[in-house]
Amino acid sequence: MIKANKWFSKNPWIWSTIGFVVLWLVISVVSGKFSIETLFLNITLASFTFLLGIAEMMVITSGDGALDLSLPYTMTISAYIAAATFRDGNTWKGILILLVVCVGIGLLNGMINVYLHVHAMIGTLAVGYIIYTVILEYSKYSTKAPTKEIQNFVHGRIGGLSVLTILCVLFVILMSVVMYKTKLGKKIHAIGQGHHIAYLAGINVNRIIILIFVCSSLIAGLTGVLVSAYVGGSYQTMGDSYLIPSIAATMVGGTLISGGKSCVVGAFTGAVMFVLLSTLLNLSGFSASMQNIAEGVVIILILFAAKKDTN
Amino acid sequence: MENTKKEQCLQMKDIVKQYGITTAVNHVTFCADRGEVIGLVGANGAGKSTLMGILTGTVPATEGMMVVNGVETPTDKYHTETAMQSGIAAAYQELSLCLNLSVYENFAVSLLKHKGTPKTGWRKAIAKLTKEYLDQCFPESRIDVNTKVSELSIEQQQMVEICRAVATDNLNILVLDEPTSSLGTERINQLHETVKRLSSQGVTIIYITHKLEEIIKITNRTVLMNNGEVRWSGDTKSVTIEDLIQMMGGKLKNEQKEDLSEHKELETLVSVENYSAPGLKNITMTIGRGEIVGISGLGGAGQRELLNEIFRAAKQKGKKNLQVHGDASFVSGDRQKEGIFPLWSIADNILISGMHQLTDHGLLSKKKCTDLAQFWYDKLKFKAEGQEASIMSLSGGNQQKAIIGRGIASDADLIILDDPTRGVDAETKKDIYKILNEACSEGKSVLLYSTEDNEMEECDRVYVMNEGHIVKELRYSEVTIDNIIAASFVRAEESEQEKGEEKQEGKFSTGALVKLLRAPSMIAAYILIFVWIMLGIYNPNTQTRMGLTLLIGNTLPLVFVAIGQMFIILVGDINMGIGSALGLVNVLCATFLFDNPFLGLCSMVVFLAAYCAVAVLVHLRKMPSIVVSLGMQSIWLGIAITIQKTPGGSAPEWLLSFLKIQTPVFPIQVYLCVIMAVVGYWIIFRSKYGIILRGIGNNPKAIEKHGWSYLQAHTMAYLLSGCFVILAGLMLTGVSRGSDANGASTYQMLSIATVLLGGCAFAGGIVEPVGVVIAAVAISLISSMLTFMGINSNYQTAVVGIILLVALILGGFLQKGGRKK
Repeated sequence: MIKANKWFSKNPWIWSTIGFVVLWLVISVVSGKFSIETLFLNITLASFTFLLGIAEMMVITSGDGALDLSLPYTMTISAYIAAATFRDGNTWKGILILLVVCVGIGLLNGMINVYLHVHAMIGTLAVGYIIYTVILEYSKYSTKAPTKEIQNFVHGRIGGLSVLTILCVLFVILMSVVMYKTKLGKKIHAIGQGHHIAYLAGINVNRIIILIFVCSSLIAGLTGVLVSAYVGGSYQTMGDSYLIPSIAATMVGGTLISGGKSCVVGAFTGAVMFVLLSTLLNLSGFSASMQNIAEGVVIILILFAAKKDTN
Repeated sequence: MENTKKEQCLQMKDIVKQYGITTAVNHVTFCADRGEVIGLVGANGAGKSTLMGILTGTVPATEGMMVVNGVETPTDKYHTETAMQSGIAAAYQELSLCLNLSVYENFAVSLLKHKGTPKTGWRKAIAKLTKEYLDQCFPESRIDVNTKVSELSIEQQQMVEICRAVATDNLNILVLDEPTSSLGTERINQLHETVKRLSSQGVTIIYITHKLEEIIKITNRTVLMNNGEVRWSGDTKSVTIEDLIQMMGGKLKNEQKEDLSEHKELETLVSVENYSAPGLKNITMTIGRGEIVGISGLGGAGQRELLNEIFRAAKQKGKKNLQVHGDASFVSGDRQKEGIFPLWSIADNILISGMHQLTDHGLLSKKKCTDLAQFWYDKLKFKAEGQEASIMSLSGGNQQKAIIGRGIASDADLIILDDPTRGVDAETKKDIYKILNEACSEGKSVLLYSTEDNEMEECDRVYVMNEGHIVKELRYSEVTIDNIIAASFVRAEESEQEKGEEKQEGKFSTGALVKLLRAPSMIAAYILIFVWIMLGIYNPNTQTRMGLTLLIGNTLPLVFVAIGQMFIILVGDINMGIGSALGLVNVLCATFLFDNPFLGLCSMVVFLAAYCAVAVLVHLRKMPSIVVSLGMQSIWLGIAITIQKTPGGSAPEWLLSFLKIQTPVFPIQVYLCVIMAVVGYWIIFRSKYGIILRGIGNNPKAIEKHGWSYLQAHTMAYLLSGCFVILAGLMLTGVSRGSDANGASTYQMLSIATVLLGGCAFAGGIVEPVGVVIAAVAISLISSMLTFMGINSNYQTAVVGIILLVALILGGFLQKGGRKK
């Protein structure tokens, strides 16, 4: 019993994985057919929530109740920039601009947090507001998707799996290595358990926090380009609908909101679980409002079931 | 002492306490007579603290029987309240004070009756009582009972902790757990006087300490614990310190350290020349390679500042008169706040600073990690299940070993130790010094600060500090306790210039007005004044009664909802669903309440119950409030849309006419804001329960130790919050004359921003209701101002964002400036 408990607390992704398998089975029963196809489609749809979830996971893991609320805006602005530059054939120039913008936003977020001592949640919110104004001005010029090539790439399939899914799996592996097998990963988790403790343990806390914000902005930028290619265009509130599911997926996947403990696999299974949930609700003919309620209940139930580490 | 008639007042029979598979207390029977002073000693993890936890009711025992004053209670029916009613009080090593409360409010937490309203003037009465007790126990303590505990030094905090335990009603048994770990010599003597006085008044005192001299000096009887059992118990007169150490499983003090390298020239590792910093004046010192250098002197003379400056210099490099030619690691004695990574195993805690030695092609090598961790695990002789055991499962002394292991395993040239043996038993202390000596013989240097003067004898050289100056350097054979104590009282001659500076500073800090103008919540007031002037310039109509009615009317929903969010943040939670909760109330008002007041009222009650249920859920399952409230956000929104699919509905007539009431001078909207500020202020700062709510936000364990229910306080905060959300919903309905389930979502982040701008702290415990109301009005008016100024609506969000940022940054600077005393 104690051993089982230990295993559960070491592998917190298990809860969201159970959730997603159960949901898939229920969907299969409701729709009357066991379809791997449906599962794969949902996993593809979950890619964006997952990617944004990983960005949030890094910020959350750095502790101090940090959240990056500017991510949806970073997503949207990246989509617009990609559309505007890639279509003119200036792909490399576009990528360069994207990098500069995303790194710039990340630096701004991180420096406001580190040097001006504004809490991350409010600092990033304010930065988000500023980006939003830029989006409002910028959106007059273009609402198109990036080039056909990128669209084809995003919709592509390799041996039954979508390119997006393969991308996500590679990303899971990459992030797992970064978070659990490198010095940087250990340091991020250390910072999350107390900035002052980490400083005294010889970690350059400021530099790592800024790095985290830059990484999260870059991931959000990438997500923005992928989303606009997938749905075939950009719109002003494009990023908004991904923020809450991405945070929820990360939490449900076993990342500790207070920081210091993360779970990359859990963020993935959590994202898939939420997409499956809305598929199920759609399938069963629930109204949008009932879907809202059901989603909320599921978030709370999963948290309720998950065995918490004391402390 | 000359107690002839022995009357037993406490008997703990056959107590067992198990944590999982480990037995912390194993069939212990512990008795105490009235007026006896009992010394309780034992190595770390011997079960002393657990046994005392059982006595005070904070730790539930697995089995056993408690007999207090002849009343028998089985341990499963023995709680904090039972202990309190029997007059059992304790001063804890990990202080149980709420840092955000004033000294007398901390006393109030333990002195106030839990039920009923106290008599008017209770604040004054408790403040007076507090002062009396402080003067009695620690004459000339110079502690103002109105100051916040966070502004006191550690020594003063410990004095407050002890006095508060002494002040308990009908005090019967007093437990002092490491009471002198942060006290200076003079205060220790005062404490010993107090112990004698209390004992002669018939109070039984249980004195836990690792400083065995104190045991010999003041106790009548000694109880020695080892591995959860009582190993020895008897008259203190019949034992010596050496006997006690031996019985604890330790060896006798080792041979005198050899006078090493009397005049050998050492390579310089740290050189400090004429260095000044806040709290440090004209410091000149050196540390050579392979040396143990001590920093000593009376508490708070600048030792910690010096250690921190040297560590900073090693990490960030490049200061011309403070140079460290190598890397440094830091070991702090304040394990909870500065030492351990609580989520990690012993191994991770040891390895974190030395990871550069553990990589293979850029990745951490599992084998190297395990090997190094095992090396230190064996060397430091941990009492644990293995290197993978959680650090939190260890006793304090073993946790300290891990942090020291980290410091040495980091491979740094200089190991800085800040009171590393705080609350560590004699045996572990010896191990620690043995390891430090080994590190030195390998060429590493050690810089040590300890509050215990006898530990300084381990050092090759000792610098003694007084008021920020180094007043004496003791070399090799000069390092003796007597020399250190003598040097501690040497005062440095201050230059005229410094004296002048001090006077000026003193003048500056006395200005109450300056303090007020620098208060965190003033930023909001400045913004409000600015916005109001701008409004007047661009649109003079805003200054009329009609203008006020409209403008302030529109701010009311934010004022109320921000106060609602404030109560959640007060207890350390956050509500990410308050916007949609507001939307739901809005819908309820415009539909049910409009159609049928009774039905409307019922729906509000149900809402309130659900809102409080969240608190219970968050509390009992220890779920993070941020995620639960994200879930609740979906639920509130879903319910609201189910009730009302499209925006519509209408405001109840009585509500509209209420908002139209003609009040003298100002419109009713202005009065509502003022009333909210006053009500908020009263609940938080003037009411009895306000103290508890603030205390919960800072240190829930401390509040629980005094028998208050955390769950109840938690729920109360949500209840208050829910009431304000309902009021906000009413206002929103009145302003918009209808409802929209999605319409209130903007209030979500705005409420959090408002609370922060108002001067509250995210971490909980520190809130400013007046500031929140001002901030809410200011933020709401900004967009009106921008509209009047003819700024493109696209830019408005950006402007709000920038103003928010600037305000918070400015607030941070003002506070910093104010704190610099």
